[in-house]
Amino acid sequence: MKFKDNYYRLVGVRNEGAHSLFSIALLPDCELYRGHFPGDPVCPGVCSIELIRQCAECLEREPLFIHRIKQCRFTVLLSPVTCRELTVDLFLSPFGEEESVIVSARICDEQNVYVEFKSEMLKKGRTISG
Amino acid sequence: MDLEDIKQFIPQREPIIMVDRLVRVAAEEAVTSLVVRDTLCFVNETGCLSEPGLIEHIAQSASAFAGYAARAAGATKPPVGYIGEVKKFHCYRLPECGEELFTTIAWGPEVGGVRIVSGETRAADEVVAETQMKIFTR
Repeated sequence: MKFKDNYYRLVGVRNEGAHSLFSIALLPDCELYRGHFPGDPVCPGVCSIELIRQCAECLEREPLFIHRIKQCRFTVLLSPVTCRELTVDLFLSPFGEEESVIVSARICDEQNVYVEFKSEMLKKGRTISG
Repeated sequence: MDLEDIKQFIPQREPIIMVDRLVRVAAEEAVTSLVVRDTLCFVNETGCLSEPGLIEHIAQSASAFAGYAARAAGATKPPVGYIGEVKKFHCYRLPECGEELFTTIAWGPEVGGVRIVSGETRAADEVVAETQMKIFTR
């Protein structure tokens, strides 16, 4: 399944210091909610991870492979019914060799922080070491 | 219990079912399987199961294990669990369509509705992904 324009829509991007803030609209008609869960739509946590990866790819302008996730906390349940608009607050920093990047992110709106995320991603097509 | 019918053990339904079978269950460990195919929603445009797809597969494997235990204890419906935290996730490569994954779930004690689970996914007898996670039930 293609996530962009099916699970979410990118509304805009702006920078604040070293952070990039992505405005995201969740799309409640996405077919995934038929099964997650029937009659009770809840955003799958892993879809938030995919969303963060796609925002990071947008900044890096190349595909990224999620090599490690140090920690990803889902602090508040997210539903497309109660939450239509989100901010993905992204901070990237180079790591070790230049083929690797540390991606730190938070997904939030005015009320809640839903996800706190830290991982190492590799630029694809480069070799994976360790 | 018939281990073949996965829907009796997990609350997820199509199109997001990410586990095919409960292969075997012991006291604190279970093994599940999944054949990667292009109809799975986490298979990407290059025909590989994505990293979030691997995490969801491990989470649903843990869900199937919990559902089996609940059924064995007399529950009529599988419990609904949510991922509270993913920790120490490591992905070595993305499995391709046609590959069969075998995932071993080990679970720790449940405290206050939160259970710590570890999962390791193998394809062609090599580890492709491993993670720890906290699963909570609402």
